[in-house]
Amino acid sequence: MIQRLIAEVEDIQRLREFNDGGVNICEVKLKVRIIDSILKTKLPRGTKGKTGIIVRKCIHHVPKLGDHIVLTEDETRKFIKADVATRRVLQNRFVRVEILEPLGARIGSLAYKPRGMDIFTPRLDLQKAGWLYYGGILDTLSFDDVTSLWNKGYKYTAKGYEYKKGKLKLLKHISTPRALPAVYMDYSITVGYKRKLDFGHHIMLPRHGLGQHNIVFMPLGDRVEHLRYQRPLAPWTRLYDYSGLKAGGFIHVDEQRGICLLCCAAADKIEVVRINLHQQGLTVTLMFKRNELTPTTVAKYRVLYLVGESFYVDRYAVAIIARNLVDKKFISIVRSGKTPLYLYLSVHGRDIKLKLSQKTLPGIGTLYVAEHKPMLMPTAVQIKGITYA
Amino acid sequence: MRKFSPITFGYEWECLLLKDDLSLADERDIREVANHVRAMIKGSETGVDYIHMLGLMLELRSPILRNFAELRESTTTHIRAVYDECNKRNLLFLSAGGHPALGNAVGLHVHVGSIYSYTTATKIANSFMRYAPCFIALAANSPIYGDRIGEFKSYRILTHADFCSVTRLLMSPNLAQWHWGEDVCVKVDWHSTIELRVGDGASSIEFVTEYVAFVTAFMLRMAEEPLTQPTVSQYEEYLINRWRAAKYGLQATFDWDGHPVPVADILDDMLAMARFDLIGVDGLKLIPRMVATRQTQADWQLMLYKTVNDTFAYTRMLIDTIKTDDPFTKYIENAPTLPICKPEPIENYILANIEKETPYGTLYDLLLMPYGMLDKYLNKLIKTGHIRMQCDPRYGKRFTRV
Repeated sequence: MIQRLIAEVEDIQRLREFNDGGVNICEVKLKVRIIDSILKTKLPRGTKGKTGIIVRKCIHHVPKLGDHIVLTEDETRKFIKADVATRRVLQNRFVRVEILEPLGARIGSLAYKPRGMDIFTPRLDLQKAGWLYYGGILDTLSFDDVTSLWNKGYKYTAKGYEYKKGKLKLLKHISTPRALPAVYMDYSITVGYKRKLDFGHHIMLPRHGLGQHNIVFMPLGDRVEHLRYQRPLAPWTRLYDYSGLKAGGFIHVDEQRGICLLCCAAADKIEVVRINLHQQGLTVTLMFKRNELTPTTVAKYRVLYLVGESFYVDRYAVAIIARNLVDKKFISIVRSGKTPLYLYLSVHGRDIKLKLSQKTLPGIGTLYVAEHKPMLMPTAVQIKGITYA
Repeated sequence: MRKFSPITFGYEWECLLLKDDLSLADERDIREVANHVRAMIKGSETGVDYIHMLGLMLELRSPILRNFAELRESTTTHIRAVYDECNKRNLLFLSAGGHPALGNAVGLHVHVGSIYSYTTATKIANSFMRYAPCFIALAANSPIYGDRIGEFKSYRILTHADFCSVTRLLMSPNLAQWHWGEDVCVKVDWHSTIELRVGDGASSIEFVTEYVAFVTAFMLRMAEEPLTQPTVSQYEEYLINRWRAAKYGLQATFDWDGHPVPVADILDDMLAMARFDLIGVDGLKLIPRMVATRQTQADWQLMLYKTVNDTFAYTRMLIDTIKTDDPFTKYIENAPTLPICKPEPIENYILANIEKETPYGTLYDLLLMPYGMLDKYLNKLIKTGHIRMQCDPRYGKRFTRV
């Protein structure tokens, strides 16, 4: 998670001086010693104190011995490769998930394998607390404070990722079920005393690559709401709160890349979904209803994220379709507040009717699933509609 | 009778104090530096100001100044005091239009006084308004702004300085009221000044000195002229020129009374008109050279940036570079003359920001142009088939590119 290295200049050798368009340029070879990093974190073993050579063109100012400089991205990668030790990978036939342990054990990468596309790519951003990574799926213990568990280190144990602070203990288990293009996130939280607990997820899409082609759709029973991202010029944020998600889910769609993320949780446990369009990106916050805990109770939460390449939404339901990388089968998944019977697909311009079968997931509720035979040729499959009982 | 009496002026030079990792210094440290500077320099009003959601920046506020010699003394002593204190505390001092790796607004505001009639001050501010884009072009110094690099010379003004330098509302002097953060802002209710907020934070101490002197001397001259309310077309030109100044700096061509005129030519005239004599200076050296070569601090920054092509490494390099003996002034001595850029139709910029269901309010934010004027450009784009409009009872008007 190191963005750049900070180094101290140990030796300077002037290579040449020349004039370019009236500007005197001095090319220097610098011997540097690594002393720190941006973002401040534990450097990979052997990095601190490591020396190396970089060549820079200098105008006006040539570094002196003992000066500190910030290395460019290319210079940084000469000293450290991407620090893979800090991330764990889970995958199945549909998705590849990276969990960034030092950054709140967040899901920092969620890639849809058939298209090799990632929903998130966390980016460094400055907040009041210093440099922080923006992007991914983060746990939160506060509705308004995005950063409550932002950069917290979670410990990896056999039971999952554990975060402890005082008497608070949060255990998170992340898994990828074999048959679904999905990631499960299961939580057990104890607080050790009588307390009201707020818990939820921030789904954060960094601004890089975001545009009006990024949309969040929410089926609210009587209507479908949708919001498109546009980077605001003003630094303040505009918040949109939605309650009554009877389908127990909402979907983020990237129209340009043809990739979507469906988030599901037990409908009766969701209090609000907040959409925050701001300069750093798009944050969708899923907050569960407040839980009153005693010293002995354990609060349990479960969230399911599904990834796909095509979607459908009406006022009752959201649906996605994903393809299996291995046998090329398509799977359609519907999350609905009303029982759906059939799903209509358009494949090669032909309409296909599929019967949906129920799949009950503890802690989440019912999904309605249909599989389509393997498509060996590259095929655009679209969901045309759903009929209900 | 003079409208400004006595003649006083001053500046608020916003700067960033950073840690070694280029994040903002702790608030306590920034406050202590401000306190130290204020204690060291007689009359200094130095303090802190907020960066939205992020923390604090240092604001070097001069004492009330009366002449150029005091101005020069003030900038020199302030900088010396800040560097001394930063060295002691291991802090980095960055003075520019924004943090290059982050992109946030950092400005250089000039106050001119003393004036006590809100109505008269409003008349002067209204008259002065159309010249504000000339000062934007001159002071452009935020061309590297987080993930946005080089398309604009003042991203700070493009983003209306995080809405802390917004277009001036054209109000009748008798009905004028205070409005937050206008480019030319009447501050008679709190001080005795008219404030020009458009300048990007400067990286050159000599530029700060000359810029403050120029704004002051030109405003003093304006106050001597018959004060006229800008016409609707002049107001529209102000808005369009403001955008062009942010984009092209001193290479811009402005619309001026219906004609295309290079901003450098307008600034030449302004330099000739300005009442430098009233603040005890014969003339300026750096700014006329900048105008002649059409080079701004933004051009200088872009030239420096090319040596590393990395916003983090560049931020640190800029910090170290400006610590040396006013490198921008040295650069300008031999800098090549840049060409004049042709004016780009403003509707191209509006169109570039329309994708799907773009809210009307988002388009307003681009230029802060009165809705009636904005409609003129939107209707033109609709007629030419570039966009279509939808009306939604909940979200109002939204526009989609065809």
